[in-house]
Amino acid sequence: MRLVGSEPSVRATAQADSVSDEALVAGMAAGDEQAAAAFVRRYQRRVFGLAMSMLGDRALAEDVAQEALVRAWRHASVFDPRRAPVAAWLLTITRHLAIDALRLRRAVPLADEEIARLVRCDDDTERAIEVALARPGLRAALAELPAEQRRALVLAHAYGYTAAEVGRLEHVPLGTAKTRIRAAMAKLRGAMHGEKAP
Amino acid sequence: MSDEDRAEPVRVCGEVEGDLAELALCVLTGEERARVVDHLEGCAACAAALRELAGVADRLVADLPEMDPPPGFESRVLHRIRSVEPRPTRRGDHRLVRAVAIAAIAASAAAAFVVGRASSPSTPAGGIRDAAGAAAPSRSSGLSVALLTSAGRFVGDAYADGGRHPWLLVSIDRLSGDSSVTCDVTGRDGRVVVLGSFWLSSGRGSWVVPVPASLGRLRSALITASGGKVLASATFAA
Repeated sequence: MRLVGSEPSVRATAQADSVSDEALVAGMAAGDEQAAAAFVRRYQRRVFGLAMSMLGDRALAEDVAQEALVRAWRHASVFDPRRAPVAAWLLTITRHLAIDALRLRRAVPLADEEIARLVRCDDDTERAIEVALARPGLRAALAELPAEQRRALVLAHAYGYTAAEVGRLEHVPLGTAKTRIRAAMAKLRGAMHGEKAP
Repeated sequence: MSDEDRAEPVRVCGEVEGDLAELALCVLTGEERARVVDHLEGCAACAAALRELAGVADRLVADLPEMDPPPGFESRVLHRIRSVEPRPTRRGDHRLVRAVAIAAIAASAAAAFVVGRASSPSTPAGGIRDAAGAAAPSRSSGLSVALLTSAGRFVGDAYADGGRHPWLLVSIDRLSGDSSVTCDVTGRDGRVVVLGSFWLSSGRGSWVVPVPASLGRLRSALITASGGKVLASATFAA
């Protein structure tokens, strides 16, 4: 889009900054770079925050955050506002990319102490939990989870481990790992609904 | 995966219940995911359960603290965006862009809003030349009316929404040259409002723009060149 007249870019940018998320995505779908610029400004801190929370590495987090925003631009035309809010769509893209990055990093076998650190759910992992579950209700619900369920959830959610990988890290059968993840999610779901977790 | 290799679809909910949480967390492997998704297509109960779990997963990331990216991040992203075209559009995606725009405007009608496109990838707004060039414009789809030259030649279409927050979508793909054009509309009472000036690249461009509600139902839209020459007009049904 190019608006003409006095200070077109200022005017257009101000307009783009004031519109809804869905309108910005529609603008991106139409190839509008001013909509893309407003979209980046609006979401860069959330996207980068998520990437940093999962990756803990600023350079890698920037790569992931950049790629997420570029993908949002490229795929804006297939965004369906009836299926998900824009924020959920964008953060899902970011999370997928972060998981891919984590898996690539894991292509190098983890050292024993790293595995032990993850399984031990030590300070770093606890911090990841705090970060990942900033909402007080969910944090409280997480604190009430049995430790093995909390570890399984964090390994899957914050580190992108599959149930099979969680099982190997925790030295438990696949079925047990699946059950722990499922139970943890069910309890958080209960907390979200304001119910007491069973 | 070939059809022969593909696992039998799961018919029993109990066989996928254990996978739904992992699917919501995006940690199922591709084969597992395909198997579960096959089941979900025919099982409303499991699909509903997945939506709930996906809500949990979304919440886990939605409330994350924001963090300032490194200096220059925004300009680096925008530099990359300028070098990458939006997903290549196929014939017919013109209508998809319009549908997205319509949904978007419906959601944000109160905001002052302009969305547009030009057709050359080298321009700041470039990137969907394929859509503009390849799409067969829809001449009659409800509120969509043809934009015609004075000689009756079809050059694009206009779509007016007269809801609580009226707006107009104009899509032109059969004019020529790079130039700015002015778009104005006429209400039923004869009042004319200039909606703005927009850029056409290689004769193509489109925009969505709010229309003052006080105009009521639109009578017509007019596209004029910077010198005042009328390039095209659209007449809306009474």
